[in-house]
Amino acid sequence: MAVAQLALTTGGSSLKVPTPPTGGEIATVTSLAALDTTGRVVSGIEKALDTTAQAINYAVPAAAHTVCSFLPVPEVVNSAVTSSLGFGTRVLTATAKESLQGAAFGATAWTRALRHSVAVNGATEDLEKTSASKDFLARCIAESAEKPAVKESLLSYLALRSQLAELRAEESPDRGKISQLAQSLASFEVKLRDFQEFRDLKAALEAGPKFVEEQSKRINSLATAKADELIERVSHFYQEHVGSLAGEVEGGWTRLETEEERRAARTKLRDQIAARLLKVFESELSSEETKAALSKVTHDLHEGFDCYRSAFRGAVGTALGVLFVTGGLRGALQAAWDGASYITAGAASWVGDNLVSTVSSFTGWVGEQVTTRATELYEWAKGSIVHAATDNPLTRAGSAIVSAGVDAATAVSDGAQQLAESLMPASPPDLSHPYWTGSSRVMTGVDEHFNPLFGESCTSGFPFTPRGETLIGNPEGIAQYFTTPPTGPAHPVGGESATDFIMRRVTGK
Amino acid sequence: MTATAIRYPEQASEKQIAEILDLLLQSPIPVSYQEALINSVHSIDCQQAEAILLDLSRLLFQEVRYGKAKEVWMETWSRIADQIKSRMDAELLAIEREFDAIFRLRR
Repeated sequence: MAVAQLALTTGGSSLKVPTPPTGGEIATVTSLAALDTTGRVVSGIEKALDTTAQAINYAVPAAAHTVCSFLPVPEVVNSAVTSSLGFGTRVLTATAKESLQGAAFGATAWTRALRHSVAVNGATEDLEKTSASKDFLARCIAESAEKPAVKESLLSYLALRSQLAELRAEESPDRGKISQLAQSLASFEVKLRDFQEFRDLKAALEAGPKFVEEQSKRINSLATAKADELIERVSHFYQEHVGSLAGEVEGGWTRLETEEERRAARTKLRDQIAARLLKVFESELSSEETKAALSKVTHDLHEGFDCYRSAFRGAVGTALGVLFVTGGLRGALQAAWDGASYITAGAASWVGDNLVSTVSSFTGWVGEQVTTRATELYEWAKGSIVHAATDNPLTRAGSAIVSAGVDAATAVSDGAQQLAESLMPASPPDLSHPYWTGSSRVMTGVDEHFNPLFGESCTSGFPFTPRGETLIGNPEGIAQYFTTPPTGPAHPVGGESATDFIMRRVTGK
Repeated sequence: MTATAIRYPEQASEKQIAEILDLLLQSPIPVSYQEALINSVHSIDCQQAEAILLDLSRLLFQEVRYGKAKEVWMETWSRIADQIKSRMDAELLAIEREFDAIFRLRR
């Protein structure tokens, strides 16, 4: 994708995309309320789009999940740390220098010698305070993007997320606005997903802040403790060995009038020592050796993830093809329909809105909103299925899967209304139906109107259709199922087998 | 005209289906797909079974590989953290020596 294409808009939305904040604004932008709402949104998104079984089962229809692929698990903590530290330091150094140097106490030689590191300390302290903010860290990642177009898009994306968080925080959020925002966000999700910076951003939203927060706290705590320890040791040492000369440390403070001033002076000394230690921390983190080590493992990590994702897409592509030729694709689409119906019926989350738009693009059930992403979906689905099959040495099976899968993808993307009519019932499917949900009853054939007939398990020779939940996590159930042999060949009714019936209904041939 | 017999592939074997389910349930494939495949697995032929087995095996292999890469990545970070701690200890000693030098000078 050309970088120039990244200057995304909100796709005609009437909502105003906020202007990306400047670095200075970033330093003061976060508030606890904002953090809370951002956290909820992020949590909801990550939870629903994660590959965990429950989230997908209830919130993400299979088709939508395929379209969205799955989000990378945390993979860029190095980027998060270096970007946030580097950026945070750049942004905050000037302010920190001015304020902290101005407040520096005394004028001893060693104080001046340590003063240069105060700015770093101040910046890191501020980073620690704000690193709990996913918003802050995400902006650090976005701001540190090298390409202006990518940076602009990432900031626009974050701005949309902030807008959405604000909307959702309202007691009665405007569903229309949320839906509009969801559409815009979905557009960004699709168009940015191949960019490493976007993956970094998403990973930072998920795990980066926690990591940085933990590391910052750990390092700050260590530095502060060691500074205290040093002051204690130095004071004690000079009181014992140098007598009154220890007054340079203690005496300087005792000249101050109040206990509060002395305490403040001691605290500043401690902070200055800690600042110097923190500078060591930062320089070590950004050393060439560290960069080289991190670069290698991060490259391996990204490569591993890419292969993993490719394998995932390949497997799902094959699954689509197999489901199509076995008639199971219809069941999968029913799940998508069910999810879409559920969501449109009243799910008030961003995830819901995002997914319904995606599901809509997959199936074409929501008319005008479909067109753009249906094409994208088609290209993706075709590509992944072709990839899955062509990468498969079993060329014959692969060809069949390619053919079936591409046909299915074509049908899905080309014929929005036709798809609804040919593949789906006119109303949301009744998933309590024994065939689709699995039960002791099975489809035994068709009647004169080609409607399916159902009978008890194995009475027709058609294999028992198990309930998924009876098998998942139940090895005994699986063993029992597969050790019960079918009682005979499939039973054709009216000269047509159940499989042929399903195929004919799906293909229209 | 002579009738041509159509030869269909054999149904997937019990062993293949068991392997598919075993791999499928370990995989990150969405549950809705898993259930759809479980519900359809009885009707796939052996070639389809081989195709999906191959892909599932590859998926699980890559998942393990990716998991190992994550471990190495975290270990690298731990090692760097240890190095940083060591350097900070050295810096602490240097600061203490500076204190010492300052006081000795003034003495």
